[in-house]
Amino acid sequence: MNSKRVATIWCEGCSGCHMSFLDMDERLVDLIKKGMELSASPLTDLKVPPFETDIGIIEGSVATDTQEEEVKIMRERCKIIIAIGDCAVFGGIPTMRNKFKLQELYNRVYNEAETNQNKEIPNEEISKLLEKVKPVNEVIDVDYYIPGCPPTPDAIYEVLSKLLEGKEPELKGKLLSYE
Amino acid sequence: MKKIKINGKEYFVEKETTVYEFLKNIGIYVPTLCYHPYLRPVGSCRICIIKDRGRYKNSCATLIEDGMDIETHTPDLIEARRWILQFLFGERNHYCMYCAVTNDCEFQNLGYYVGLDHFHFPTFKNIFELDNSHEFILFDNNRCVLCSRCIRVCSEVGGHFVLSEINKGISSLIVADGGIPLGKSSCVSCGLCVQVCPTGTFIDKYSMYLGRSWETEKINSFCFSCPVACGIEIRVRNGNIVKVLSNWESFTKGLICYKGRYLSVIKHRNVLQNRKHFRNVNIIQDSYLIESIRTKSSVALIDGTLFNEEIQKITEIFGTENTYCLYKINPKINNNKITFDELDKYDAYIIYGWNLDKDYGTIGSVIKRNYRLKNKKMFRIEEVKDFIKNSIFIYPACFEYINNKRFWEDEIVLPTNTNDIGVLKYIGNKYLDEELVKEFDKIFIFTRNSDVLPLYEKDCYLFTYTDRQIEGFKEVFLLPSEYEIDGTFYNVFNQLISVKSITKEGVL
Repeated sequence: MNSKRVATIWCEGCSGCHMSFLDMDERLVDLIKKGMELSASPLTDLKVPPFETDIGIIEGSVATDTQEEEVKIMRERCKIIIAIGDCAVFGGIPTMRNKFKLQELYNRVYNEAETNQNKEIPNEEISKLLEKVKPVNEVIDVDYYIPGCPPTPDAIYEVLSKLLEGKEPELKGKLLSYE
Repeated sequence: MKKIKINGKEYFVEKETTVYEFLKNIGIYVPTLCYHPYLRPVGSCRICIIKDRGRYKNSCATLIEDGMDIETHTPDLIEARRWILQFLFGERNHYCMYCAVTNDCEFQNLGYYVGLDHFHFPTFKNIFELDNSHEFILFDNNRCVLCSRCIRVCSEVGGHFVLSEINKGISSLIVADGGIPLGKSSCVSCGLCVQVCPTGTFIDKYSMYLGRSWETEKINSFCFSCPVACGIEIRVRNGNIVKVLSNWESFTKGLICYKGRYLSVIKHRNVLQNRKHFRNVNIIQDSYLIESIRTKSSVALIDGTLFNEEIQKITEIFGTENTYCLYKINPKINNNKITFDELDKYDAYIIYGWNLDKDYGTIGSVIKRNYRLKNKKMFRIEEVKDFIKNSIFIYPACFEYINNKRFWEDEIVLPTNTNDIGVLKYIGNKYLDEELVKEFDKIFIFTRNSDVLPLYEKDCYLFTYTDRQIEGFKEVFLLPSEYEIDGTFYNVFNQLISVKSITKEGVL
């Protein structure tokens, strides 16, 4: 049986979707039996997946230039991209800042905030914020979406097992939820 | 008789009806968004798209014609509905995850229905200001899909004509009074826009996060806040009143005013929190308590804020001869014969001494919408020197009858308190003047109005419904609220209305 390499990355998100991924529990063994081979994940601290990965899973929205770069590399190296969780699919909680201009936010957080002593906007050794937080599909093409905050383990299992079996996954009923 | 085909099956239609309503009757589900069963269809959202002889049409605003060949669920229609929904979800802020109505939203349910799993079009293209100026309603144009249900309900049903739409295309937005904050506009806070909004654009501040509609129990009842007694639908969760909606199937046909929807519930919650400071008395169950305080020369003063059963019990305890009215009641209210439905049919209304928006809001709605939409006449005479202060008259008039001198025959006199007619029926029209009061030692006042002053220099006991301390009385007792007991009362149209208890006494 030919195995399929699966890599996950974590952009602007809370890691809740990775928790939900781990929450598949013993069904993870099922997936490994079906041929899943986890190559890169936040746990391995590889920022980008190895070449010729089959399935790339992206959690979180794109909020900085580094994340934009990571996501693009992900697209280059993975055959199938799955956006997982409300942040990656729609933009999620981080898009709340899209109501404001970036400069307003910097001022509020670093200059006006009472707790900040230095009154200085950090600009070295840190990735730059994008003007707007974007869902993953505004940066690269996405093949499958699993919305939900976080998506249920059932939904993730449904999509991954179908893909490993070479079938077309479809989320229906309780598996499709974004509330 | 029209002969039509639906998905290949033949049907015969006799009545003039829209395609959507016919499909609904024969049990074929077509998703809708801007359509509302009690509003005029406009067909603005296009989600109810169908195919008739190869052409795309919106089913909610298309009348059935002879020879139609309708298809409802072809693959291209399903695809079209998905794209229409993608267009609606784009541009603004339709993020369900940080919306107050998530999981209780028609728009979100449509997303689940068509299987929308991502946004194809970018969001936050145009950002509008959040309007938090209104006391009861949170108004966020960023969540609007411009279905115009709120505009239609505000004008066609409520007759208020507050909401309208300005600008074009992507910057179209719903505004109050042409563009001023909702809280400063002429909005009368009836909350109909909140009730019909399919998204989270209009949100009730007093019921948000207290329970989604599917988590609540639905109880049909009647409002006790004013003598009109509108039909209401109370949503209860674990014994708590989450919100009050108007009942479209009741005789008031979906009308409601700010008193029924907001004030009574807010007061109910406030009173519950301050309950422990008072001795709670239910007149019917705890009559022994009143008996024990009462002496032979005691007098009871009652008003129309009590239910018939309570009035009857008081007259049993004190005797009808020792029960008097607290306020003066216009005896003409007994002659009201016009029903709410008939009120809609008159050609002109002559109104004495009444602000159409403030009290009796639903009668005001009927008159206002007939005046604006059906070109009927309205005459308002604000200052009236009548023998009783605060009494309000409406003279609905039919032009046809002028020559037969029927012009003034019909009149509605609006009672001040809800059950004034009941008070008149049980004890008649009698007041306690200062001469009479000398004969009595103890005065018992029964009223759910809390702004009562102690009368005369006697021992005064107050049985009321309040959330604050009242001074000057020997003792203040707390009556249960209108949601807590069963009872009957007479409304302004002389109908006997009975309500059932919604919550148990003292449940927060």
